[in-house]
Amino acid sequence: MSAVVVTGTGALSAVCADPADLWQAMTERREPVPEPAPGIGPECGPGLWRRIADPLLDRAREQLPSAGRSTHAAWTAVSQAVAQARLTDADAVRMAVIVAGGVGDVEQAERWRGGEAAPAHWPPTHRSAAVIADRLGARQAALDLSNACAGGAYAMALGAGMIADGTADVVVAAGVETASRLITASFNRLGALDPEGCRPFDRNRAGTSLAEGAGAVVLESTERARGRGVPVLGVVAGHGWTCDAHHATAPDPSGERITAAMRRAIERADVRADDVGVVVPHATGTPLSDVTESTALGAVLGSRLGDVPVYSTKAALGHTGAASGLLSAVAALAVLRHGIVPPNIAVKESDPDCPVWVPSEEVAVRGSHALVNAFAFGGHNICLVLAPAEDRP
Amino acid sequence: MTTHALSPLPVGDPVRELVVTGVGVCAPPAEAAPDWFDYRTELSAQGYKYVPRAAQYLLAAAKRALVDARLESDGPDDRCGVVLGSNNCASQLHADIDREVANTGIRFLRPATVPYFSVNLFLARLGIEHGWRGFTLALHSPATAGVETVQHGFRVVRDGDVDWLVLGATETPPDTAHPGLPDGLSAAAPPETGLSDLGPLAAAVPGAALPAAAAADDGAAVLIVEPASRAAVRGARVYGTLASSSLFVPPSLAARDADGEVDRLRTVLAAHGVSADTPVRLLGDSSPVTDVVARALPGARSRTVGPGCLSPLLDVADILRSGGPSTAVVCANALGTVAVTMVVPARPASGGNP
Repeated sequence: MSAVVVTGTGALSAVCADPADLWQAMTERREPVPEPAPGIGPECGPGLWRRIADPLLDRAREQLPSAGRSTHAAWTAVSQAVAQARLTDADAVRMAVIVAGGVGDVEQAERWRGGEAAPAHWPPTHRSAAVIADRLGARQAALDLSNACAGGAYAMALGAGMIADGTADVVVAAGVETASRLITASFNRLGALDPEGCRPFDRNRAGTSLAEGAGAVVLESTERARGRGVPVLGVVAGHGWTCDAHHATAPDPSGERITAAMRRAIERADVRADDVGVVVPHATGTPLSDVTESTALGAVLGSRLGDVPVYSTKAALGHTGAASGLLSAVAALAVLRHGIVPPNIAVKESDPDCPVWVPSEEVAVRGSHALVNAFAFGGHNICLVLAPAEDRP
Repeated sequence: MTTHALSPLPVGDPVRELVVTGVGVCAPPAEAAPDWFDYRTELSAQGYKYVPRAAQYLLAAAKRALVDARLESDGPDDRCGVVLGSNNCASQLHADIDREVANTGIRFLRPATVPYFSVNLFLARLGIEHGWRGFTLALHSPATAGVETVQHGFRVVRDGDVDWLVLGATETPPDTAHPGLPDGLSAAAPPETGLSDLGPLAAAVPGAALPAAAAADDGAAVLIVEPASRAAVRGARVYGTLASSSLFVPPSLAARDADGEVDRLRTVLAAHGVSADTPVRLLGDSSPVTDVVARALPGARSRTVGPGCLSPLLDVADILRSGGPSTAVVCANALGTVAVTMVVPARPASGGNP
């Protein structure tokens, strides 16, 4: 069976304007600067977001004037991916668009409640896929989903499934999250934010940090990509998804279902755990989540746990919510393509309960494949196994 | 009544045909009073007070579906997948949180309720309740998310990740300040009408849509789906089978080149198994997209539905329960999402309308 490959990527965050800039930011250890969040009332906690530079969304605002910031960010990332994949109108006939967003365009509803003019029709908050599909002229499907902070990776896996079973010939999959009063207030009320920023695997980590982001990929079969003569950026070799069914916001500390998801992804990719050469973890910087993920990685990688480099995108970008899994995948594809793992934002004090290797210097990838993890409120777990393109330089 | 816990599907089971063995609906009766739903009697007086209404609906519908399927849910089940849809489940909560924050800050936000800011939790709550650990997927495509659960759930079974499915949708009306809502938000179902009652078409502005003309969805529906082989082993009643697929009709094209879209759609719908003699229920709104779909399905029985993705799934449930000929449920929406669900009841009609 023909493999599902990536022929286009898009990336947008507080530290990058596109995928090439993301790689540059990773290699330079560029750190995002938090900005004050949209007002959250008379009392507020840290209330800081790592935001996408506003001018990067100007074109999307012009093209989609009735959409919200989340759709604008998703469309900007999708535009990058579609351009890189050299898609044309002919590709839209059997194209599906999938967009994952944690809360969709809820920020737009907040502006309406604040007095800004609202449209006359019913606009569901999750409608980015439909709006983008209209813009692209896609005819196969437009699928909006959430699955919280794991959403972007789910979008990618769902897209790979639609290619594999022939539902669509081309899938544009995206994940996005942008600032809203709702998220700011809720994370503050839950006490889930670390005033010092996201510090995965640090002994003193105290929570995550809020960040805007959008990631996108174009998926199609190897045969189709070859037929079109476009470069392949990487292969979606496998995915595994499970559910903790344990708690609304906390992971199952046993890590049992996370382990199962990783093993299923590796099995589906038809490789061995020994082939995993880099891990892009979920690693939100919350105390229990990082320990749980480390435990699960230990169960899967065994004695290699301390030898497989980890690259933490959340330390570099902040926690981009539903975009995070997809941005991690875009980062992992770049890592595989270059064969090197950029230096992590340094962990100040390692946590002995998280015995993973988080190199603060550039190191070589230690195997053929990348493992990307994304987990979420509600117990959603998903793991992707990615392989480099055959024509890797 | 005898109930059974599902046992793991034998490895390599050659029979992956999926059948519906349980239907649970939690929806207001006609002329319902505003307090038609009481979580204390539907679920329990303990433990559900701060669970948002749409999640309560879902739990109640699932409870009914499990009883209907004569299934017990008594512990972790790694072979059950849960795929659920909603458009507006969190609208009211989001508005409540936002108003509270704007007025007084975050201090009075209730810790038990705040996590539901994350929309998926309204749906994931069901898997947590029952220990269903295969996978959970929360879909939100405008109007189609409820029936889209069928195609995406079935794919995961085909891939071998899970053996059986809990599919469903839940809705509460959007916050009253949400744009584009009709006056009054009662959940009374609108009467079936001909297409002529759908109202005038939207102005030919790309992407434009007219105000919703019907009441917003309110309630939940859940289907239990399992392999026919296992249903046979445990002697389960089989309601029928389903097949669903999605389409997209770009609203800008529906407005610009309606005739071309109608022609294209006729071909596509035929490829999806909707022939001239297939009974069709079309659920739509007052938009160019719905008009295009309606013109491609001239024999369809059509009605206007309001905001939400529950109505199509309620129709699927109704057809399964009523029996009768294979019927297509087609839903369309101003934003371009279209879904076709073929419902093949296992038994002849018992008075229901195809």
